[in-house]
Amino acid sequence: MMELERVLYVEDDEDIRVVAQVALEMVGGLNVKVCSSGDQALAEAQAFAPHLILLDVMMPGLDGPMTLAGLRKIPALANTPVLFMTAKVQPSEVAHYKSLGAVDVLSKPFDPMCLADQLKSIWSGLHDG
Amino acid sequence: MTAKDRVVETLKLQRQRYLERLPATVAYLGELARAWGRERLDSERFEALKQGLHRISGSAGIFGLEDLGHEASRLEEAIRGGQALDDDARTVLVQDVLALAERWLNSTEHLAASVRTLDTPAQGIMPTIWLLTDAGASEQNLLRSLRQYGFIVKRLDGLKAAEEALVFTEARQGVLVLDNERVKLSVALAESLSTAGVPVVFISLQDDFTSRLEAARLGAAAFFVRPLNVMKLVELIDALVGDHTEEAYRILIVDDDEMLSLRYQQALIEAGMRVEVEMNPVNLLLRLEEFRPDLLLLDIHMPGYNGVELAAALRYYDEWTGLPIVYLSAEANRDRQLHALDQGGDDFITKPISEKYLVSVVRVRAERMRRLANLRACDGLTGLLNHVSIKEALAAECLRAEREKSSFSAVMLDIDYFKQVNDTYGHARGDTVIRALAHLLKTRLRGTDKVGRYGGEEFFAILPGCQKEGAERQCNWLREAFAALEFEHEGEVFSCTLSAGIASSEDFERLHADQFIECADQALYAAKGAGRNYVIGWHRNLPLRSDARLGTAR
Repeated sequence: MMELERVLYVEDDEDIRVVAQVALEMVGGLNVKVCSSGDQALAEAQAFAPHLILLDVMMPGLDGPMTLAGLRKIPALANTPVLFMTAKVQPSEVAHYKSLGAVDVLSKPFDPMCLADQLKSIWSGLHDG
Repeated sequence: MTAKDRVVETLKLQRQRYLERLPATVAYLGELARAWGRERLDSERFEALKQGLHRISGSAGIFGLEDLGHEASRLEEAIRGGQALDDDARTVLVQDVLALAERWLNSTEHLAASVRTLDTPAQGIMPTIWLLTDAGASEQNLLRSLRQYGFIVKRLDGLKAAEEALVFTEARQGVLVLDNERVKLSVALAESLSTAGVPVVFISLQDDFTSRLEAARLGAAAFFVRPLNVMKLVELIDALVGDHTEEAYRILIVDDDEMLSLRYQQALIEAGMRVEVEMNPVNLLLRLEEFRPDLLLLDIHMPGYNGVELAAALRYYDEWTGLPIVYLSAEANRDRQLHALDQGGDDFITKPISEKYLVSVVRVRAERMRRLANLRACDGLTGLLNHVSIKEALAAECLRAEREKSSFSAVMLDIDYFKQVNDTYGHARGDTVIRALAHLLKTRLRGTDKVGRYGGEEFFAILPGCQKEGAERQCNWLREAFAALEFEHEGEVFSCTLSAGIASSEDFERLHADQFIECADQALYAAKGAGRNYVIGWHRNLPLRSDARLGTAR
């Protein structure tokens, strides 16, 4: 199984972005590319060739679901697993986001010490199953 | 530093930044909510309100503010129905958002929490009062009183607890108050405190010379005896840890010799002053207006201009009659020097001059200027702005609000039945009450607010950026805090209340200082008429002052 290395992370809130970056890079040892908007992600994602994409749901401009739709149109990223991250995770919403093509939904606030492990276990779950 | 340390360190710093920005964030949400309450929020800004709450609900928990996160999340959920909500539901939600904003705008809890859990450099921000007691009921009162005056007080039970808690590796802002039967302090603790620059204050039951001597041996900053005069203690603590940072002196150099001016500028800047240089005397007045220096260094011989004439001309402006002017010149002729001083200069520096001498002449004069200006602006009893200065500040705020289209509120406060306090307990006790309220105003209002003593027991406050609702909450908070203060006179405990009237920029089309004072006063009288211990915001239907007048008992 290929190990999770490159994660593309899209988040407009600077505070959360910095914490998540620390959580993924310094704690998790992952190679992270951070984008502050959906537009930026669409423009730069392909060159980074991420293994996994983590999208904030509520963003000004292109929100998470719209960004996902845009990413799916890029052939190289059509099958890259996408995770959503949001502050309100209710079962109905999780189902809705999954129907859009997300493999899972992470909740905010997250624990910076565990975030990377969470991602890795979702990653290995995808490949075991 | 290990990788884990680096993670922890980075997270700490990020948390600190988050906390620093939080007041501005919640203040903005409060403004949006208020506009929403008045149905003056377009869909774009309503979206901003929702999104703001959403962000907090996602981020606060990461930085350890779970309560804030949960409340924001609840509000976001509730608000989602959007513009369709009925009036009552909307009013409730607006109030809730305002309450959240208020709590996180004014609470110092988050600062305290960050200190406890993170031990970051932010420790120096707020001075802490450590209260060391052997336990007992009266100490509880002291803890409460000190907190009422706006201090952050941490209680330590016994010397052992103090030795564990008060370990410092660097300078710390704070005071240790020891409230015990007798004076005692371990040498180790005394040393640790002195290294950190933390002063020690003893409160003792024993009123004898031996106790005072022991306190002096332990390097105490002050010694109090029970029964305690809390106001005196508060003033002392203020003097020990208050904000003494002086703004740098501002010096304007007017000289056509560029090289020399720059050298002087460099020397004065190195001495901690703010210095600007103007080489063309034509711009003198403009530069004075803009830079507002504490002192002017003026060359005498400049092409086309004579410094002595410039000084004389400046003195024709009322505004600049008090500005210290020091001439810079190669003039060695004593008579001509005297003539120059005659024409409105304060001192004469002959070039070439040593930089050390320049710095000391300038500093002494600028300092005197500052002190005079402060004396002129401040009320002697309370240290607040005096009548004239607070009115000037109000006029300035009116101009600023017009220019920047910003809002503000003005408050007239008055101590209820103050004459009875003076008659019953004497004027000295009355002064204590006035000083207590002054202290409360100074510590409970924001640094950007302006507070003045308007008359005997009457105070005036200007709250920039604050609309009427916020001002009312602020005033009621002050009103409750003041009513909770207990004063003592010969064993008898009494307390006082205050009433306040508020006028806000949203009340008026054009902003005039006189109108603010009149309306705030009218509202104050209405508050008095409503039974006192009350806050009223001005509105058109208030009775005129003459109708509301209730004899002389204010």
